[in-house]
Amino acid sequence: MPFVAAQTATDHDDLLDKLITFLTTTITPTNERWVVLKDVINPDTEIYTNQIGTTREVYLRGPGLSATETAITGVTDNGGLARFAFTGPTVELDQEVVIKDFVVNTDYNGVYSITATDGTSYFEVSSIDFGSDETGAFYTNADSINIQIRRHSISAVAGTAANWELQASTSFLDVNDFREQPGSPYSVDTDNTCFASLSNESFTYWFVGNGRYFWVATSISTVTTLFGGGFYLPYALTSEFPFPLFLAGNARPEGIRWNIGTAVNYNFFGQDTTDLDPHGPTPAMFVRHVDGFWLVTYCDTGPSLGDTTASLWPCDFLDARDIIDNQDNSYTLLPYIPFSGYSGGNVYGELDGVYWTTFFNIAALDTIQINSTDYLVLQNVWDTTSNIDFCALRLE
Amino acid sequence: MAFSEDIAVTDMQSVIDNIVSFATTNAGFTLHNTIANAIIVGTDSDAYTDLSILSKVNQDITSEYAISSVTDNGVIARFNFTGPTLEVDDFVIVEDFVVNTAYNGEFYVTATDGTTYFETGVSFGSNETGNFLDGAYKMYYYLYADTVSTEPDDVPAGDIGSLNCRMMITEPTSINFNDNTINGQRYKTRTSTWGNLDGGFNGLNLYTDGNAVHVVLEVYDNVFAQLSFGKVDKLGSWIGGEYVTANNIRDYDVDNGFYFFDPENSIAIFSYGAAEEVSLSISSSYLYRPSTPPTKDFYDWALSVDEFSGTGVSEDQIVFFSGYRFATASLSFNLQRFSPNTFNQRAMLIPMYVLSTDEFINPGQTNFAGFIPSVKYLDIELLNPKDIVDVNWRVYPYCSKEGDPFTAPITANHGLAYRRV
Repeated sequence: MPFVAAQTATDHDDLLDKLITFLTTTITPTNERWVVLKDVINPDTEIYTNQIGTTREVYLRGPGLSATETAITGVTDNGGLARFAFTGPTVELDQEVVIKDFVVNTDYNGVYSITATDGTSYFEVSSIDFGSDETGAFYTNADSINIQIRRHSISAVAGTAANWELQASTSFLDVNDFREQPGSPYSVDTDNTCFASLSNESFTYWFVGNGRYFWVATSISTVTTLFGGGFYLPYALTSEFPFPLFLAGNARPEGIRWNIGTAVNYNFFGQDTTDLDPHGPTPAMFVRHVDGFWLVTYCDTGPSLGDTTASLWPCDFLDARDIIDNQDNSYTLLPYIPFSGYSGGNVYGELDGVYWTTFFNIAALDTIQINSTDYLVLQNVWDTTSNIDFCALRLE
Repeated sequence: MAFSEDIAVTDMQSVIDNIVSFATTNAGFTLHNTIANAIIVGTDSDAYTDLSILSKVNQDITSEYAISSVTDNGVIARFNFTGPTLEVDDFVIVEDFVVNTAYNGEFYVTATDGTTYFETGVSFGSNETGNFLDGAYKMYYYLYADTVSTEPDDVPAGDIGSLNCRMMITEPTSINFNDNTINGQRYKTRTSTWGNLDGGFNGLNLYTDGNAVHVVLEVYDNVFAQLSFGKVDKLGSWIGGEYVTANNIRDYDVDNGFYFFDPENSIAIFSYGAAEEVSLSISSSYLYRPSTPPTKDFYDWALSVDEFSGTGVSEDQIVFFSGYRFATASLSFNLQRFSPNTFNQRAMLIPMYVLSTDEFINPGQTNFAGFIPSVKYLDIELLNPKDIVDVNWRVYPYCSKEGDPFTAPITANHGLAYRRV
């Protein structure tokens, strides 16, 4: 899995440039690279209260880990519908594909309906006016991972909050607002906002990602943040659970500066050491249920059946606070598993690239090695008071 | 790796014979001894099978030492070396040693005065400057079946069957046991066969990855007794790791005359532990974890109970599994509680993690010990006993998913899946 270790960004806008470079040109293999659907400077100076300057909005799309790139051999007009011809894998009904480098002039809803084939496969798309690129390529088995990032600065009490806002969606509509892309957490509930607390001065960063997700870790002075988005590894087939999306920020609501020492400035794995109310009333992590509902995800002892929130294993396990390193001082990693009492109760899958570990006898930004793979240890932003509140980021 | 399912077994003797054959063929165990008419001393036990003793060498090597010389000490060999002080019953492995006659792999250590010695009853060859490997030991597993006629308040009057396994780090000088006395490293678990004392049984199912042996006996139709022994897949490198665990669920409603599964206090196989104190004779699980001070007594053992009192064993060491326990303190409680998924009707196969504590070394703190290979917990709400899931995992209820509580405890949707490879 590609990663970038311990580089320096001059500020939160430079970090965005570097993430775009990482996702679109660094990741290998090439068919796992993301594309930038839109990158604009938004002159609107009143999106956020006490906003400073403009904002920059970047709309990213990941191809999906299982994507296969296949050349389009021709496009014909099929009575108002575009018919793409290719020789490649058999595409099933309702299977989604992504067109690479395709010029879309009008509305594009990202959904393709597949027609039956006899020898050659075809798929059709409606409601779009396409351009002249009739020999592009498309990705089959793609999932349309869409992540939106909005760089902004806010004048806050403790100084400038130079942050990102993040959203995730199942598709992209150019005419829609940043927060209101199809299937986004915000479109489900306008309280579902998600931020990363960064800096307008230089800081150290790490990137980890592939065609399905990315993580960004930063070290600003004495705090470490971790945020990202994409697909988790679902306990389900794609046909059973399309779009297994998660979005994890480290701050909520807006205007949280990196040095704020309260629970509004917590990584997704952080929890309060006394009452397990991790982020106060506003956790910045969300997991998408198959029906499109986004579950606010806590680090607590777990929801009740019927609750509309999710929790994270093993952070729900109180005694995990007492787990120390192994008997030979090596470390055990556990996957983070979101679960909820929503819709009858479900255990969704595992976050990839990040793992629970004890913080016993180790310090933030130390590297631990397990089976020849390095893992970067991250603390919960500023809070180091609980053995649960540490995470290992896989640098591989 | 191996598995064998639905083996026809007529009685307990054939059950034990099949376990022994399977373990020796597929999991590296040796049949150390079989003793007919062994006396199982206790207040209420009556053995009706031979006592079969399996053994297996644990080669958790800690250090390698050069043998400086070998002298003839009468009919036995005396090896001289400069190294650690070995205790009586320590087990070591001689590397590259030429053995001319029968070699049973056992070395008995004598006391030392300056130089350490160990002796062996084998005839050796000309290689007198070999090495030995310290840290190895041999673990013994005693398998037998007996009947239990009375237990205070938790079993019905009359006999019930019991498949037993004891784990010991030394071979005892006597094969007589007394359930109510702690005497060195003797730790026992058992799985009840309830009113079915000696068959016939519906079938025997055996699974192994080469280190752990899983025994699932279908006592009645879709009613199962379960026993597991062997070695955990360890996380980190440490000496120990042998375990025994069994489905020691025999709770009985004395007033109403039926079995029940008390989720807080039953001690099921691979359970997180019981919430209340239980006595040694009915504990379910043990893990070997040498401790400090290395007294080679019960402190070397981690017990599957939160508290242990009245019999000389304290809560100094405890072992937990990620199997069933209906309490928030369990590692996998919420993963169990919210399975199976409503969106695809699948239940997560939860790895069987093993955690242990050692109050001597790290008071109040817990280590990951490892996990049990080839078995996982899962919710079986939407499954039937002996269904196959995830290609090659066969599903069983802890005891019985549903049925007659007068026959055996009902464990509802709590299940285990064993790997069929």
